[in-house]
Amino acid sequence: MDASPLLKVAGLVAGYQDQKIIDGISFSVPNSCFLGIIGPNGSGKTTLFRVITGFLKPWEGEVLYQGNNTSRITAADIAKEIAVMPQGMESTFSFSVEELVAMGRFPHLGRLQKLGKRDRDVIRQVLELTDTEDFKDKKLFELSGGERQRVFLAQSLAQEPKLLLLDEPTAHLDIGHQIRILDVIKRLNRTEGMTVIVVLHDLNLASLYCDRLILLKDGFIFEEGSPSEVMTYETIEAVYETVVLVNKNPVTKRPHVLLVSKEQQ
Amino acid sequence: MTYRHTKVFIALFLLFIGTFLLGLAFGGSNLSLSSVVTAIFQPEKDSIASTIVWQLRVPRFFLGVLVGAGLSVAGCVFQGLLRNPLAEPYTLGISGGAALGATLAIVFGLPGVFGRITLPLAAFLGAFLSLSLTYAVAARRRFSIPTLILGGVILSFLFSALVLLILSVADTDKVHGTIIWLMGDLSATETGMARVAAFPIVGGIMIMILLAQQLNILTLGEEKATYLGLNTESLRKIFFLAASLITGACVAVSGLIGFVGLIVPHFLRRLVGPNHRTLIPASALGGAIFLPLCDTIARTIIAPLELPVGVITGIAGGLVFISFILKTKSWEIF
Repeated sequence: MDASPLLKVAGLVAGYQDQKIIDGISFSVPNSCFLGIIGPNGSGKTTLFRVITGFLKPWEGEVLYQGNNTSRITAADIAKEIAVMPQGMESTFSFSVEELVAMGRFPHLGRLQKLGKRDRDVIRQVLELTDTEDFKDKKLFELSGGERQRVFLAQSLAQEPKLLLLDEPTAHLDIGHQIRILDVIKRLNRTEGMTVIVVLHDLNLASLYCDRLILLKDGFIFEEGSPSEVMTYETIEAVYETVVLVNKNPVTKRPHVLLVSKEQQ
Repeated sequence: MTYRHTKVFIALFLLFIGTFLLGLAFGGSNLSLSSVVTAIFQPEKDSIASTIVWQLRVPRFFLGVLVGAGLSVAGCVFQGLLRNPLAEPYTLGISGGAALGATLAIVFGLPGVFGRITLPLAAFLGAFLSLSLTYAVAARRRFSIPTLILGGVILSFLFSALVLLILSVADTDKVHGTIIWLMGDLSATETGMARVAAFPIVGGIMIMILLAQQLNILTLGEEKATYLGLNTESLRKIFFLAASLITGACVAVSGLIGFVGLIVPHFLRRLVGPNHRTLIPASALGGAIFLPLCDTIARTIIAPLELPVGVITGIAGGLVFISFILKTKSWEIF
């Protein structure tokens, strides 16, 4: 791990119109880290995500990528290094899976330049990696939700990013597809050293995959650290205002959150 | 470009040649195919036939090619840009402004004063006015898609209401002239005007072809397009201006020919897919076939009288397209 962080955010304040959503957030992400951002609905996860990706301009504070302020780098240059998979990706037109994945190569192509041999190799690799090569000629609307999500993951991976940001990549997926998506990302994180920042709703998935967690509440960082540091029952109960038990997953030794309904308390 | 695309393009090209020969042969007086060929390659042999072909039908055919290709590409780009299957060249209010310009010119009898250049000029000025207004509205909201659509549609209604207001108090003979113009017509334009209009139309089509991949990525939505490195706001501005310029030039030389810009891109999207790299050139070729073909029908069906070509594009295009939708198996239109 490098001494200097790959990404550093300092004193972020941001929101929409006159509504402040996140208020004074600072943290840094070392190289090859798998960082999870968790927190209740409305705690500012997606807003923080959009500020980090540069889609939303912060009111105050800055985002530094490799020491450079991202607001001074063009979107085209950022896209060569950072890939982002927003929530609820869709395609209005019936592009084929392969065409959609090929769009991920766009940041690396010159104006009017066509896909070269290396681009095709990358596309083939990410189709294999995400297990989507079997339906590369199909249209998106012919696929299931889990398959679609893998296609958009392949599109982001085709950018060959140093840093991959994902906003709830497992939303609305069954457990099999949730694991499949996160396994692919974890593998690249381990083998290629790709740094990952992922917004997750599911606390147990976050615990299972992330090296570090940031827990948001009402727009600021409530707790930060390893899963076992962050996911204690006191912390989770305080942030989510729900009674929970926190166990250890017998296989992974990571914390596991169990819910208790009001009647059974 | 796949094997299938190559086949489609070869088929379109052959259809284009066929339409060209048909367009030269049929009209007020019908020529045989052999006399058309003779008139093209040995014009000195049959002077009457070669005069009809070279003086009347060739210029008109190529005006149809120009306007057909322009409207189809503009429609294709608006559908992609606005991510809306109902978008067409006139969605963003260009037609309303052009109609107002032309109506004012006709009602005030300006063609009698300034000659044949009046209508194209007035229509183009009207189109430019509505374009500027839509631009001004959209610019306040970062060219967001809902603002573009709402701004365009509302201005369109406003201009239409003004046209109706003027027509309701104008002389009957002038109303008739205006209505013919509103239906769209390729007969009234001089070759010189068509040459001037060719610059924005051909130039606009070239820009669209160059930016086709950017348009593909814009269809993924603003957020994802930004993450892939695009400056989405300035791109939407470029597409809006270029497509509007093409539309304005088309409307100026031919009036409001409906339907071409709506159905030609849909038709070709089914044949070559949604990738704008192939779809834009295919739409240009498709429009360059469809409009001259409809114009040939409009010139011959009640000869020696002519129908406005907009009537034919509406009827023929509508019927063909509905049967096309009914026959196709998959449910999505895009």
